[in-house]
Amino acid sequence: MKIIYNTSKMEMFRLFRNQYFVVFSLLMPFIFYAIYTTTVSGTMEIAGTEWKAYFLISMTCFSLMGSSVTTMGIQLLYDRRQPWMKWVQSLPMKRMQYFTARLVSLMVLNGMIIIALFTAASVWKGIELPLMKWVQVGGWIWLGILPFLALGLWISVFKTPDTATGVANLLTLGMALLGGLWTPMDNMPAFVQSFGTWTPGYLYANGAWSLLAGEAVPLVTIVVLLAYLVIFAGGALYTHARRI
Amino acid sequence: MVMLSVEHLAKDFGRKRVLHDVTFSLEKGESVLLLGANGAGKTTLLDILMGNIKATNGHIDWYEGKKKIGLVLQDASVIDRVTVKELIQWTRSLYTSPLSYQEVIQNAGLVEMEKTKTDNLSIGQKRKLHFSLALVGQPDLLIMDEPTAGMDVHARKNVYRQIEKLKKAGMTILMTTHVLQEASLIGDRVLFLENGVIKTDETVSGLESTTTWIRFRLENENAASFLQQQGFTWNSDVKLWEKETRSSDEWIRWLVENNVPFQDLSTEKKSMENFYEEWTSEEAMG
Repeated sequence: MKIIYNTSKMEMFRLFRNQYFVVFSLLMPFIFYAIYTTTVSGTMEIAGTEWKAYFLISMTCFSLMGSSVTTMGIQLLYDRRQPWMKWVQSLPMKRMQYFTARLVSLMVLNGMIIIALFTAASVWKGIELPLMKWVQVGGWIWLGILPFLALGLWISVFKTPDTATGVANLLTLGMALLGGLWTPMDNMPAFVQSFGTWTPGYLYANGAWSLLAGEAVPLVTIVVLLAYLVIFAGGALYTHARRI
Repeated sequence: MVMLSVEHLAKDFGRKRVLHDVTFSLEKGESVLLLGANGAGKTTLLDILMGNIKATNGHIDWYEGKKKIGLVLQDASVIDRVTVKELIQWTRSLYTSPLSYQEVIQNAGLVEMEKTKTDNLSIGQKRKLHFSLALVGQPDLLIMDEPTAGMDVHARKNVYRQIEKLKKAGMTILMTTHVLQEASLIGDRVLFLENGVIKTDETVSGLESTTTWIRFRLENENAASFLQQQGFTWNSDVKLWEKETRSSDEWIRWLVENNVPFQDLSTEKKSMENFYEEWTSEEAMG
């Protein structure tokens, strides 16, 4: 545990000093939130709640998807190609401990992003929710990111960072767009809705939107997200095992 | 006392066999140089010893349990986006009895730069930090993969001094290098790896002190064929007759007893450089 704790701490410093992480996971979602809640009335009703709260969920999910798929995936790939990774492998630390520590560091930073975005948006836009609801919604977003973390791990097996960056950005943006994070799913064309509601981006945000509206997370959302987790984690582990 | 022995190690990458049948042992406290041309399998062998990759066949026996290993890499790269202090402290936290923080940062010569991010260190500073980090866990075996590659003479001498100190402290060292003088300076024993097979496993002193060239000129060429029958050869580069031998005194006596009309006789001990040139030229000829 001490090894995982110390390694997570160091990796958190490294992640936080990664400008890509700060820009894409903190600044960009907040700027988009500011733009979309200024140009559209924040009090507009949508899915049993107000737009300013609904879109906060969208942007928080987008932020975490970006940090997990793009930042984490590319960072792992970049690090794997560094000569010092061989030195790390020579240290008295198991490979599994090292990767666990890296996932823990990202999960901690994801938690901090959720708190930062929720606090900033609620203070600025005056979103009033019971504390328990903030915890429920935040907790779902924090835990529901696991399939995307697994996808980031899968991305990290690419041979070149350029390809991985392209694929990661395409996937993150694609999942956000088709998942209704930018435009609510009800406003999308019918054929997009037919498959969009099955995409991981939508299922992830939909769990949080449901909790925000005072409803339980639909069972199908949990089951399908878990299936994505199994597929992405399985793919990542299988591909990593073949590469070693 | 034997620290580890490697028995019939083989490694395949796909259909390509990189190591064939590698067998050697390491004595505690000795400094062994692993030589060989690029692609000979040196790094693969080190990777197997480090436990980074598994051998296809063969095994490694660690006497008295697997020892603590320190690793020095050719690139001397260190983890980025951390300060010198953070990196040292993190490395220390992984070991049960690490060197003190002060010892590590002093070894690295970076006392004044502990808050500097590793990205901002010069290559020389990174090398020093990398070397110091390899010693944090007080390893029993230090593996170095071409630690002086790309260094200037001054930096190289610094590394030699550090290695000399470690040798005096009784550390076992296994090191790959392309700088042959290093074999004479810091090596006790030489392993020459050729196409995945250990071709030579001899002590440096044994190699250098026992093998000598006898060279001389002939007053007339009447004895030439007689000399050739005894294994003497004409070296057209230096225009001298020569013979490589481990018993030069006996051969000089033989020349005198057989009235060979020689003059300007000299002997020259073979250096590591000579051995390496010979090994690699034989390898190139296939």
